Amino acid sequence: MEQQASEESVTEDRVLRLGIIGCGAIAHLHADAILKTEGVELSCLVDADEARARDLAALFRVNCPVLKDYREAVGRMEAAIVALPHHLHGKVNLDLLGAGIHVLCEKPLATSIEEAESCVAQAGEKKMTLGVGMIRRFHWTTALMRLLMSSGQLGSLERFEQVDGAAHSWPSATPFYFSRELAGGGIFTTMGVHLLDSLLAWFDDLEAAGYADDNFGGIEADACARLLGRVGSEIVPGTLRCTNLYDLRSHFTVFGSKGSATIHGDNTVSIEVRGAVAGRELAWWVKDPQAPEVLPPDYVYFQAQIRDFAEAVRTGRPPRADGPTAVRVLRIIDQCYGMASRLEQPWMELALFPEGEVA
Amino acid sequence: MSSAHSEKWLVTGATGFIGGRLCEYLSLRHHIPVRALVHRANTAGAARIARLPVEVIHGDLLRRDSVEKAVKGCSVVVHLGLGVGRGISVGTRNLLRASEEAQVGRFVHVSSVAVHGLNPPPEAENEDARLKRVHNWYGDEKIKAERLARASLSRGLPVTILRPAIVFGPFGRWTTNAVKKLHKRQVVLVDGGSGICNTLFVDNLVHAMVLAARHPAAVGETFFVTDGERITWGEYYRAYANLMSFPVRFESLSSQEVLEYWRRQPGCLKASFRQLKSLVFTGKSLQQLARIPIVQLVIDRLALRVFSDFTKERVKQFLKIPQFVLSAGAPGADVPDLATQAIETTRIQHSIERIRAKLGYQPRITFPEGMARTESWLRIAGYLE
Repeated sequence: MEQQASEESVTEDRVLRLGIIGCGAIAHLHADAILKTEGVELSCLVDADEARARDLAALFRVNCPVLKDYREAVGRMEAAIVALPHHLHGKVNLDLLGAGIHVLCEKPLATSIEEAESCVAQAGEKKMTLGVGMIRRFHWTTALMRLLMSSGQLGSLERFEQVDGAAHSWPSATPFYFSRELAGGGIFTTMGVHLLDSLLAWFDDLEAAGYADDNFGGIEADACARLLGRVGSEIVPGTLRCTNLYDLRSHFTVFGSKGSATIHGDNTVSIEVRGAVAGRELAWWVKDPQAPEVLPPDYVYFQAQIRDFAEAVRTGRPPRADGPTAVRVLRIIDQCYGMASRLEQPWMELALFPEGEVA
Repeated sequence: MSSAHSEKWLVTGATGFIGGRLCEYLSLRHHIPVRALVHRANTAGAARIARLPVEVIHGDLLRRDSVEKAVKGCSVVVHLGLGVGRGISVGTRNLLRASEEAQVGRFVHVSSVAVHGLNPPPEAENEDARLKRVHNWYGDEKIKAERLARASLSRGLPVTILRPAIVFGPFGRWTTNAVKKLHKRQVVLVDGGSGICNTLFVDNLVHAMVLAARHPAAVGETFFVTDGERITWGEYYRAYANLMSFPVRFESLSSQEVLEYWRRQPGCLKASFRQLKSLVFTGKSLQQLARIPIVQLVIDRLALRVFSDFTKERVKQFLKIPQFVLSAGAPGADVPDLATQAIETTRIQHSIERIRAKLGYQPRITFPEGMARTESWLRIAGYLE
């Protein structure tokens, strides 16, 4: 890349100029968050479909440059949010980091482990901040669950289950989601990265023990993994299921010898804890006293993510969801795909009708 | 058996539950190359066919250029798509025209028994009953589409028309809606559930579609497709009730009682006037204005058309407008609506003698076996929790 980013360092009293590369569905949330957050400024919008970028600028009444090629944006921003179809993440991240631009990349960091590792190496070499858009890291429940699991409150941890099921309705600007080449995989990649990243926030370590999905030569829409989490010296077995075919009762529950803790569905604030009190089985809800009483809208978490990323840029500390963790997540996914078997689905039985039968 | 290797099938409506199952059979069982025309990519139906080795092309039945692109190179067309917004007939006309121009080998037009109305007359036991307007949008559009298909047949396109009945099975609305009803733990049957259901397990329909596309005797014919079993609506609902982990109470209203109930309800204009009056006097919010039936209709049918799907959903969410605007004045009670009353008091069983005799169709999956398969899916899909 010919242009280089400004040499000027980003100090605490200066506004961080952020560009958004890729103006599809998720860019709306990023733009909204940037405009509502102090200390950051939207410096440009980039999309190969310029009209899409212009629409986004008009929607938020922003008067910033609208560009077609991310390479033209290099001199106009200090940091970039990369929100492109997944297959472009690796290359664009490498280009931007190489040009001295800090990067907050939407998940996944790249579609291959090699590319993701290159991104991490490039960021290290150039001393640039590399963050990954793992919005769940900023939910109140994420830190709270870690506290409950590591505090001994639940006794010794015995098992966990994580279920995430929602009939697909994400309004992506292009239909890249259902292409292995463009998305990098099926639901276990697109949603699994979030779920595995959350598990890595709660467990000290995590490894795959088994995996099955419903991929029949395309990409999976229903996936189940058996996993082993570690907290301290305890090994905790568990399951993870994710699907974009059905609306399931999404939750994460960890069961311990003294009780269980559950994050229900979209509850980003409080956790249901069950346990025995004076011999009686009771359930109660716990939350951080600083957390809001009602569920905050999405942009609040996107704001928290932007603030965390901006602070990481200013101070040089790693962002809350960093590159090395994203690489670990991709390794687990790769490990799972490598041991894939077919999910048991009796209704998929096709043998009653002879192959190629006409009459 | 004809060679599977020289053919390529185009499936419209591939993200629907019948289209999805057809794609599964064609690609996984019959090893036939399949192209799926997909209009809305952000659906679970799109995720379903993405599991398969199927070529997906994005397009719109209402646009002639995208239909021509979809048909190009295909030897068989199976038409299940609805053509969102402007009706079934416009999309069907475009597809038939493109298929004629491309000289496709076979065209299977999947119509519906709804061409005989929601409550078909006795003569509709066989396929030759005359079609006349049924004053139901879906049925009337399907009649128009059948006429267009016959016109194409007369111009030389090898068309076969299938009229499936109540198609149930994994992902099917007749299945999920039945289960949703049962979750209320109380179901009101019309006339004790004695009406005939004309069930058709989705795999049997797929089998009929394959036969219709390949059998030499299928060209120019119209066939009813059912499981050929006499299952009543009461038996249909009770089969699902048996899968539930809780007891379900069945009650009955006579057909006449249902009609009387709805006759007493205010119509769209009267209900709108009443709610508007309360709004004027209480000065309530914009959301409440949007709850007035006629305002919902205007927003849904006219105003939202100009927006993208994404914006449309956001506006609807803000105004709290339901996904589908239902009949105005509906109280949300358990009294079956008028469409349900008509369908569930069907007294005839559509004959499948013609498709048996001409194509050798055998509904291999019986109702109990179909229900067993459906149960396995319902469990996986979380409907029985």
